Amino acid sequence: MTDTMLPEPTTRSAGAPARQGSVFVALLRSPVGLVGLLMLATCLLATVLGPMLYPVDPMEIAGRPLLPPGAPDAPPLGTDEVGRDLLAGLLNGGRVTLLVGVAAAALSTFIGVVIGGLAGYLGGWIDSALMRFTEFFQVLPILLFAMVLVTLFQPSVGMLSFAIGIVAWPGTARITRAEFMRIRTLDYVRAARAIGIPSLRIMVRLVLPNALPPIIVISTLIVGSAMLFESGLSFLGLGAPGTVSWGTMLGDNRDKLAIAWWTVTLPGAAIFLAVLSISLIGDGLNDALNPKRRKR
Amino acid sequence: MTAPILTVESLGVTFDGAIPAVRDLSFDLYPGETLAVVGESGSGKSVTSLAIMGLLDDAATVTGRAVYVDAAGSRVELIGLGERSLRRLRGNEISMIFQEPMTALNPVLTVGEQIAEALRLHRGTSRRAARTAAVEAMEQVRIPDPARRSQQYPHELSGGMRQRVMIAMAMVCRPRILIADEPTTALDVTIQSQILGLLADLKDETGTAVVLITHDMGVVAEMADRVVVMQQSRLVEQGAVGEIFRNPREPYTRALLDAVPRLGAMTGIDHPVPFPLSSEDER
Repeated sequence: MTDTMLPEPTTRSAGAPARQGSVFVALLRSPVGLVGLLMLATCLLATVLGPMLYPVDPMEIAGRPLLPPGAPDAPPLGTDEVGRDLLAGLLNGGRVTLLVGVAAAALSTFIGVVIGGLAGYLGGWIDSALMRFTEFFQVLPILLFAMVLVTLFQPSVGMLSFAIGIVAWPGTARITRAEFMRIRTLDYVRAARAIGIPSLRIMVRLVLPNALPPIIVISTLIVGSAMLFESGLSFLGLGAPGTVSWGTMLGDNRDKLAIAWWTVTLPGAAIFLAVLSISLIGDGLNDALNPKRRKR
Repeated sequence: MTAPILTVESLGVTFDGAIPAVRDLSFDLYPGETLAVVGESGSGKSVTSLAIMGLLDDAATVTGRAVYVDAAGSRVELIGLGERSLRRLRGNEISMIFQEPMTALNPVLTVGEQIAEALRLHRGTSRRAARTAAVEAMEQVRIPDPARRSQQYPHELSGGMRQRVMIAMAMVCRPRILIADEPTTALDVTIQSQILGLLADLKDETGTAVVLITHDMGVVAEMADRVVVMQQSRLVEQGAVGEIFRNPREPYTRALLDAVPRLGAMTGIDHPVPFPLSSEDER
């Protein structure tokens, strides 16, 4: 019994905190990152759980067209130009927008890291060739290119992600290349070569993890711009048919802006908030991953 | 006398066709000995070691020969050897440690993983066995509490500790040659003597031949069996340590020896006198 009166030893061995954990904690501590995370969590909850809590088909006619929010007999956020429930549209439409944003960012990060990494690490003529290739994509009118891709093939969620991912990678490639070029000359890479580690393994095990912070930040920002891009394509009528996304809602109702502000403003605000939350997280990550702040 | 384990013959290194960094350098390294390569900054010491390891980049042109005799007795010409064969030697039979322990370790991997890497690569050791071997290697370089230390990241270790980790990394495969490029320059004096003592002990325990690159004649006196003195990319003098210290033939060697401060050497002198550099246009 008396044993329990003894205070617990408070000193712990100074073991390394889990790295990911410490970055996440640092993200929570940065005010910008915390706000972004909260906003994104709200968006995700709304799009994942929302349709279950508010089971209204967003494609069905729910009432007279263009009912304002709060009008008698109207759904909570009113109806659009053909009388579909706007709240149901917002809750369901976020799923496509967020999915396309994340998938496109993943694809563009993969392409960008592979091309930038090879160019930066190998240098020489490979670097020149890959960078000319990257510049070709940078000078390409990307909206037009993505539109052509989507119209040539079936517009679908997958196709939209592909079309956006394939045009969004040059920035990632350039940043990755710069990081790889910098890290390639550092002592620990030379030391790794001195114990006989092959180039590919050095790239993947040594250089890539050390180059990750800026890559993570730019990938996050690409999620935001990919969502905008998806909304833009949907606005132009190139969204995936048969699905609701914030962009298609915006596009379908755009000529009603003067007479029914809510039909355009609400999906627009949803896009704005989601992209803003991702940008804030990107900024927060930028702080959290900054080695100067992480140093003890 | 036993045959040399490494024979360097008229080694030359030029970067982009400019002034050579190493000219006509020849020396032998015998099994189990410590050979010190001494000279001021820019005299070509480090470039020599990088050339032997094949670690210079494409801008460098290397001429001459560097013949390594492997454990089976076959002679391997290191200059111009293919990357794949070089990689098999590096870290396994010829290893190297660098000057800056602060930057020579990868910040995102634990030190244990980094030591285990060479074993897994050259010996195909399993992950778990390599981890155990890494802890043993850390024990061998006298790191206290090696099991816990092996889980830590480089930034959690002090400079001396990191240099020990570097040595463990380089020695874990029991190389037959260890090239130590100014291993103690970045450390303070007490740590410096600990690390040198450790290198001497390891050499005795494993029989590894050590090429010690330094500019410190004090370190040479303490560690080396033989000395190669370099100045402005050329060999100036070589011989047994006792011989060179007792009776330096070249004025440059004498000047290097005089650069080591001695107790009471400043008696009657107000300020340190600038080190006399031989003129640049001599080349």
